Amino acid sequence: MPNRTDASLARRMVRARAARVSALLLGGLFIGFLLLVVVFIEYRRAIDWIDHTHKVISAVEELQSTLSDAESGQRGYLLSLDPRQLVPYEEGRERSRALLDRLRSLTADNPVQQDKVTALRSLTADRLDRMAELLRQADEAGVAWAPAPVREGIGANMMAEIRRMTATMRADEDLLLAGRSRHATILELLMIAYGIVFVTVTGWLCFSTVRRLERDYQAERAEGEVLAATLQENRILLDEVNHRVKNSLQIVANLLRTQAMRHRSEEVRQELLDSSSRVLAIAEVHRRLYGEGAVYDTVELTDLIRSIAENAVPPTGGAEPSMTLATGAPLSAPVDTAVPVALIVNELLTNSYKHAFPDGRRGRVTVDMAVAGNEVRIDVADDGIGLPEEVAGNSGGGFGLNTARNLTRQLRGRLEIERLTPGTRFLLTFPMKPPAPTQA
Amino acid sequence: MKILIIEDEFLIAEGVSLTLQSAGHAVTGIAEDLPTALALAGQEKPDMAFVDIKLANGSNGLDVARALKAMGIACVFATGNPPNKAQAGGVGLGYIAKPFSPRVLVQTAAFVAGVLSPGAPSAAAPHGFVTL
Repeated sequence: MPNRTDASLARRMVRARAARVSALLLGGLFIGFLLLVVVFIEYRRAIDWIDHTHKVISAVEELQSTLSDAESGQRGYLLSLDPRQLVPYEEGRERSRALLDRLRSLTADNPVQQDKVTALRSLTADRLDRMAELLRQADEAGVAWAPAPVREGIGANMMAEIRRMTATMRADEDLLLAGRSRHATILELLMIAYGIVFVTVTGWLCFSTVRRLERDYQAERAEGEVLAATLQENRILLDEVNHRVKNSLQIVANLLRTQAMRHRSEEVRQELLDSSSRVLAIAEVHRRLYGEGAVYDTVELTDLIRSIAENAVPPTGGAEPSMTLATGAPLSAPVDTAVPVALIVNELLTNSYKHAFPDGRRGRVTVDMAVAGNEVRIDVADDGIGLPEEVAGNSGGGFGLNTARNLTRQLRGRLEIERLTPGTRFLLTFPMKPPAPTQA
Repeated sequence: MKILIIEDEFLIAEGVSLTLQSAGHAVTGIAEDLPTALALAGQEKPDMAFVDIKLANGSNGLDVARALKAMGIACVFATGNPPNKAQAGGVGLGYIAKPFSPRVLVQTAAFVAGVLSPGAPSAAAPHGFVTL
């Protein structure tokens, strides 16, 4: 047993340690999860900023393209004076204004880019005004219009300045895009790392838990088999002990009886037979306490009294027993009540059979048992010659009757003796104790 | 009635023997194991036997009862380990459980005598005797 106890203790300690480690790891995972939520929110924000940067770049490129288209349309008109050539110019004018408004809105968070948008708006306005002025001059001169101002290259210079400005804005946005992409990549890596840690930790926890459960199951099964074998051994041992107790009580009773039957003195013979009867009364209680592989802590009183009454009748004699054992329901008594009750009833019955019917007189002995509340009443009566006055008193009688009185006191009960005409009545009354907890 | 006692505890066997004799029966012998029981049964031809289950020299009362039944001898087990019906297998009339009183012993012997007497009215089994 010590080894099994040590093994169980060690297993409990391992379980407790594993539970602590698991709790720590799960706590870590939970904190990691909260961080993951924060990282994910930050990642979503980074993605939004990347998208935003792409929109700015797209707007800058479209502005550049729109102004180029407007310039191409204007030049086409100046060369051909074909009004259809003015469509890209007109669209470019409107579109460029809208794009500049969009750029101002998109770069609201960036003061540097806002300054550039302001400068670009001014350059664009100048360039568009210059284009409008040349168109007006061409319209006024008609076919005789000479493109001298074009040759001066003023418009080309303005467009070069616009291209330089948009290129600068584009470069700034590219730098921002690179930074924001790097930030998003780091956040992505953090999330992937957490995923790897989560899968690894939970996988390890699951694996170690399953392995520990399997080990515990195997160990407990082995322990269970050992315990079952030990229990079986104990049952066999208990059966053997019970058998020996019963045998020993039978031996003691028989020894006394044998000695009695071989003794020449009638008085000694009777005393020895009485002692044998007392041993058998105690044995009746023990026979009910020890079953096959089991020990009971109570004895059914009605059945016990019936057996005591049956056994008390001499093998050959004039009186026959008559019993009324009215308890209503089985009445369980603890062993420290059952043994005195068995001995008292045995003494009273032995007394009746021994003294009430001398010289072959025939008669009846009655045993009545009833329960009133918490009190048990056992009435033993005979219709024999009756007890002498001095014996019926509180202290009269021999060893047997005095033993019955002492055992009655042990039960906290009362033993009343009543002289009948004819016969004697013994009334034993005692309180019923609740059964004590089982010890075996 | 001629009764054989098969019991390995001498003090029990002697007490049983004296009680039965005082009740008017003839005890044909006391055997402590199977060979002795069979020898005494063959010589004395008892009417019945009181048989303990656990006997000396590894003998078992059930084997003894089986052999005695084959010889036409009725058996009653007198034991602290009463067999159930399946274990007894019809080889014994019944049992009285140790520790038993002289009255139970004498009444059981009288009951068996009634069972064995042809034409005798069937009597109720006495208190303490359990039929198998």
